Amino acid sequence: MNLFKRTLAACRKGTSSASGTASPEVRPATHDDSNDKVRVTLENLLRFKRNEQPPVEFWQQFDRALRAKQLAAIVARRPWWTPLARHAGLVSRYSIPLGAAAALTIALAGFHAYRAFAPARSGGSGAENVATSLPERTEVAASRAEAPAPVVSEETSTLAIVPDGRVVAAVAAYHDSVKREVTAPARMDARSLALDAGSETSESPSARWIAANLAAAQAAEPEVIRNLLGLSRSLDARIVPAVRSRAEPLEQMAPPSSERRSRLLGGVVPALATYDADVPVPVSDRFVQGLSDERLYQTVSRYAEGGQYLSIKVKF
Amino acid sequence: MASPDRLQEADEDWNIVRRVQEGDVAAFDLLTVKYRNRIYGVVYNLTSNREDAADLTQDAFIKAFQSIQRFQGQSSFFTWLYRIAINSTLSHLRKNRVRSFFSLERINTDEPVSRELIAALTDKTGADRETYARELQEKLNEAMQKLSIKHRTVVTLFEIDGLSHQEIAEVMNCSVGTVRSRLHYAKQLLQGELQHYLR
Repeated sequence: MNLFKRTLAACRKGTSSASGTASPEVRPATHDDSNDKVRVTLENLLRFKRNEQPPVEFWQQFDRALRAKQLAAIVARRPWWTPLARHAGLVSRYSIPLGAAAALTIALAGFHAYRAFAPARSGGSGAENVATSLPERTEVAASRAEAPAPVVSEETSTLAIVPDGRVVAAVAAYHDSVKREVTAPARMDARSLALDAGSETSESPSARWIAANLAAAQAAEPEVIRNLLGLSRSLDARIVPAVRSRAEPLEQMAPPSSERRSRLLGGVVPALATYDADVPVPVSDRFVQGLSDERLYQTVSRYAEGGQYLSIKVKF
Repeated sequence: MASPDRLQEADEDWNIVRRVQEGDVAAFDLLTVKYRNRIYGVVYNLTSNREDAADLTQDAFIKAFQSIQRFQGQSSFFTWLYRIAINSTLSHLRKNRVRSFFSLERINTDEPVSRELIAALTDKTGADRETYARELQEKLNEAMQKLSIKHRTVVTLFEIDGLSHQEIAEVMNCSVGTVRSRLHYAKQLLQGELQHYLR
């Protein structure tokens, strides 16, 4: 028991003089009173590690190194993003609403940018008004031809000079492949230049100037102008390839219904009795080339006619 | 609930911190001298490497010095400094989980507690006693390093540094129940590892 008291006193004295700081309270090792010997517990073993202390000279070196690091920290310039990183902790608290707002802003900005870009693509000045669908453009030209006008009509180009001074030039060109592919009238590449001095679509000064000059020249010498404009066919033919590249790919594609109809009706194409000039008859180029009149005659096995229809059965 | 000594200590620290915040940079040395031993002891017991412990202790003081303007006194400086040191140490341990080796301090076997413990474990004297103490030290550090980082931290702070459960919970930013649970689990593992020495 005396040993325990002495140990306890030594422990208290030792810890208070060892560190000189607010070190934790040292609990003495547990003693077994029966045989007056220390009972080794896990706590005692762990407390043994408290005596792993560095020597005094270690602290001198430690203080020197710490002072050097402290001075370096004072002198060193912090990176520019340090204040931002400090505020990032506040921002992270509202990360979800801020992220949603950012996504919404980006979506709205993209939508506005798309809307601003789309009319510029589809609209534009008269020189940029490129037609990709010939029937639509010919309708426009026809609607503007209010009175019988001297129309120079060619297979590949159309020029209409309207008497009231407006000049409408519709230049159309069929691509060579269009002649072979009857199924795709919509694939006809075309260019329509609409120069209208009074319209809102050709607002450029040069267009108005050209239109005014043409109107004046036509009033003075119509024959010369007609011959002159007739020569523009070669020029238009040179323009067409450049226009083709600007056509919309989606508009050049035939709709799925057209392709399906072409496939179903391909076999009865020889029955051209149902051919309507306004309705394009879908037929493949390969089929037409390989079909002679003699073969057509031999393959027709049966035909019948009704009130409104003609049915021809063909065997291949 | 903090003890009166702790509260008085926290007030003293807060006064020093305010002096540093007002521009008296030299006042920070008072805090350094006051806490360097304890911070080093905690970091050393977590890493079992004295060179790493020295570097990490210095880094903790530098971080505290750089951030002292943001210290508002919501917790005691002691808790705040411990948190910085332990977070730095945990980050270091996670980065160097694979590369770890012992670099142990010399153990002072002249201390009464050490002497008494070694006397209870062995009858050796003189140089053999020193060797036995060294072997025990290595076994203890080896067993500590087998614990997970969180469990090792709790054991170090409670058994070696003498912090209360509440203080450990504040330092580790968890509940007191979590601290108790981790401490219980860690002790079970250590008892299994050090069964040979327990009598």
